[in-house]
Amino acid sequence: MQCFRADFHIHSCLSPCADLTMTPNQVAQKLVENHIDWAAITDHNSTRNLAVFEEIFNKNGVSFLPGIEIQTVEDIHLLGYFPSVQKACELGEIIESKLPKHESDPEIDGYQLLVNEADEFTEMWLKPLSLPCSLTLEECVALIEEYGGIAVYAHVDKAMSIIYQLGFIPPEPFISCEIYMPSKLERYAGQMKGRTLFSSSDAHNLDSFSEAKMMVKCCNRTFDEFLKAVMKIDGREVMLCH
Amino acid sequence: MRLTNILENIDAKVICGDPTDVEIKSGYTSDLLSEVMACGNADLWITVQSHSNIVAVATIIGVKCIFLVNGREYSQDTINKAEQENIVLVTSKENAFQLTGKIHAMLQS
Repeated sequence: MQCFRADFHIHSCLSPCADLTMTPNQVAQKLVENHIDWAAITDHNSTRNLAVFEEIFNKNGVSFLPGIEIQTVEDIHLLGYFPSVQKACELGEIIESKLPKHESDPEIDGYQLLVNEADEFTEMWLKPLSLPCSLTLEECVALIEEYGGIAVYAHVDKAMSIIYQLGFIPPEPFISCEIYMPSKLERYAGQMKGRTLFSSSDAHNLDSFSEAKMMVKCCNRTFDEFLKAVMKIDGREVMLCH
Repeated sequence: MRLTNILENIDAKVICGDPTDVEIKSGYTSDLLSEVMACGNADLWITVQSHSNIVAVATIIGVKCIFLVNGREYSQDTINKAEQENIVLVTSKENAFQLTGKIHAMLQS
């Protein structure tokens, strides 16, 4: 078994709050500089940049985990990870269809850009990705699982998290938790007992990358092995680096 | 003020619990449960959140009645938990601003 250095929460230039420089080659370069072996793109309520990031990450030797950061109707940020870009995109289309119907205003909400393998912007996406979808937390978790993925509570120690919005982590669903600052772990440890813990950069710009905050101990960088590590099967595990 | 008096004067529907003999002296309006938990205590709470965690938060701060606004609906899980905890659940089509203003005025008079 090996320990892979991971960063599973990164925003591309499609996220309205992310910097325009969050393009595939630029992000891949930062990941290589920071010795990241395995990385996910998790844009707000959309999966439309996943395919190009997968291509460029793989070219740079970084394994790709397709992801999304859904904003539930309760304003909770929920990460989803999928076995393939295709599965992620099928779910992504549903999430986009559950967003408010009006178009976003790039000047106010931020630019949401689709990008190609040469880091060129190809289209301005106008779904209001910064808003909550109309699905509840439970509905979103069920939908992620229906598409073969797993759900993780995003940054439980920050705003727009399960704890911030709903006061505490409910017993169900029993899903993994991401903590932004592992140094604050003790404060939330009781609530997260028994759950697998993640920690990632949540990078919205190129200066936010760092050496890995988490490692995945498993046999190889496949979704199947990732799942086994999350579920702590046969010695595999997800570990925080702190 | 009796909860029944408040209910007589607003457009709202009792979903579960018995509003008779529930005395309301104070209220709080917020959708951030972490903030509600920190607010101290209140008899009545106005929110758009319908997740079952609202029942647990209500018991922590002594809320006897929750008003879910904007025409939203409680899940069955939330209703079951509220019945166990003897908390009155109410829905209203009005928004939080309108309802807060009306109930606040009643409590002041």
